[in-house]
Amino acid sequence: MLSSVDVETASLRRIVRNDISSNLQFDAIDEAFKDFRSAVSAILESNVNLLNEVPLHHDLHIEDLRKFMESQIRKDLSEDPLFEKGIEISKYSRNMTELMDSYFSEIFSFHQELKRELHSDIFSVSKMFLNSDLPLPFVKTLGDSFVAEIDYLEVFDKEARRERLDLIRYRSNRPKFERVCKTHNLWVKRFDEVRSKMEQERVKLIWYVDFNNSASVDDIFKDKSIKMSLMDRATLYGFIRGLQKQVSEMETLNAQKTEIISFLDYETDEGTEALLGMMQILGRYEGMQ
Amino acid sequence: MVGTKECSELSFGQVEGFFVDACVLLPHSIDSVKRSCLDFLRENASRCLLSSSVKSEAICLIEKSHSLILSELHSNLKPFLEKHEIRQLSNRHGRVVAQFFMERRRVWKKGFKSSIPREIVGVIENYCASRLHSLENGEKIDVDNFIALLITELTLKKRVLQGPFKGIRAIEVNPDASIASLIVLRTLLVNEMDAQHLASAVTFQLQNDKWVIFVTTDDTEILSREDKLFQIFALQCSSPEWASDYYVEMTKMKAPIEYFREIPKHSDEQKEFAGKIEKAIGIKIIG
Repeated sequence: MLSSVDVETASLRRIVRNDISSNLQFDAIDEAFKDFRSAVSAILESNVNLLNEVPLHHDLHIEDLRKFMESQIRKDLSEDPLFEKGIEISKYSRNMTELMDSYFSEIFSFHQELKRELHSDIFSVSKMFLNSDLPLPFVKTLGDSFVAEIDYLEVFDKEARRERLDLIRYRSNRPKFERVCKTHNLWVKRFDEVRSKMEQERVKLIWYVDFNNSASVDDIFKDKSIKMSLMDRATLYGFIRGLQKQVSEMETLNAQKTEIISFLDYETDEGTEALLGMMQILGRYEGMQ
Repeated sequence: MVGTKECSELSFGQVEGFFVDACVLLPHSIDSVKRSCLDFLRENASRCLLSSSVKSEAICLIEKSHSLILSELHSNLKPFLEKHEIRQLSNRHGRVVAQFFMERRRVWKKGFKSSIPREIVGVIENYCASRLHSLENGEKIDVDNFIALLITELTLKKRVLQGPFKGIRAIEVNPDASIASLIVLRTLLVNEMDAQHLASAVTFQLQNDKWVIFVTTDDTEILSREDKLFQIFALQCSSPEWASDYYVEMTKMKAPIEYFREIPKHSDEQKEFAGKIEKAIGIKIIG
């Protein structure tokens, strides 16, 4: 749960980042290593491309928006320690034979931090929802997408812990070592493609709401009251449905690698009890209809 | 009881697994029940099955509960606090929040005759009160931050509650309505959704000709009718504590269809069930 300090610093990640996973390679780098600058360029490109998929109101001009986004993204990334950490981990992942220990010593804490960011994202979206007349599916679908990403990180960590043992075992057995890396890359690729599409749909939805409630580029990404009257209802619901579809794909994939055991040690608290209490009442009511 | 139904010829491996009820997968307020569910699931996770009716009812109830609380916080609590010009909350704002719930009760009461609305408001009130009182003495928090924290917490808790339903093998079963109706009629079940879940288990068992055990903690509705459900429908229900014992016993029994056919003298209720099953899924279990 977020603390009051976290609440003060919480902010919503509003761009496509693609910084969760990178391929495991066994040797020294055989392709140009993506340093900080080239990683920033790749992120800029994906975000600028995505801009074309979001309808804007007539006072916002795409060129102004593009310039604004470029400077915003550069600023955000340069101030983001997690982004830097992601680059460092991707460097380790490219030479697993030599740097495996560094990779595994960083990846789990990196994911812990990412999960905290995702909690903070849920909080920020909830605040956005509170200051709006947005429909409930907006906050619920975005919440579900952050949760599906948290689930993915947990699936990743569980698998990575198992793979680490295999890699340690096969350290001096090159073919088997390579096979573990390849198997990892194969399943991660499948998951990450879906996660990436989900992230894009999420960002598009957030952008559509934010851009169309901004009188000019200066208002973009600032706290504001969101009004449905400034948006086209059908377009908004189209974005929500697009995200729902991707969330459902991510959930289906996660379920394939989820074991019930991982959910069983939960502690009940006020939040759980509120939901359970409500379920009991509704279940009783509906079962008797 | 299974022990008395054992057949003379032993044939093994005819138990498909446990059809788990939602209450087994959700945290229970009584510690001993919670522990027995956890022990059962730890031991038998791979043999558990979740029928589509149990899964969709549970997921749907979790979603509805989440939505209901979120709507109340967004559409009513926040505007109420704004109207009273409260921008920040501390643990000393209990009376204002209590006043909000009093007003909500009055509004909800108008449209309903049952106690349901009062109970719903009560759940949200308890939650808000406990979160408000958990603020440290002297700590102040913006109303928006407070409510957004509640929404965040509920969204993360929703994930925890839905989790077990994603980790169990789900089975798509569409039982004929006549089977659920017969279960209601012959066992006098009150909750129609429960009848639907039991009908799913009965249908799956006969379609696959493999025993299943319906595992639940629901004493009032299901376990109290355990004997009748086996006698008429050949469906074994069990609490989590004893489910594994039934499993072992049932591996020694003949397959469900053969077992049903070999009952020495079928009662009228069993014959009625057999007729419905034949009509619904085309399987003859008598004669």
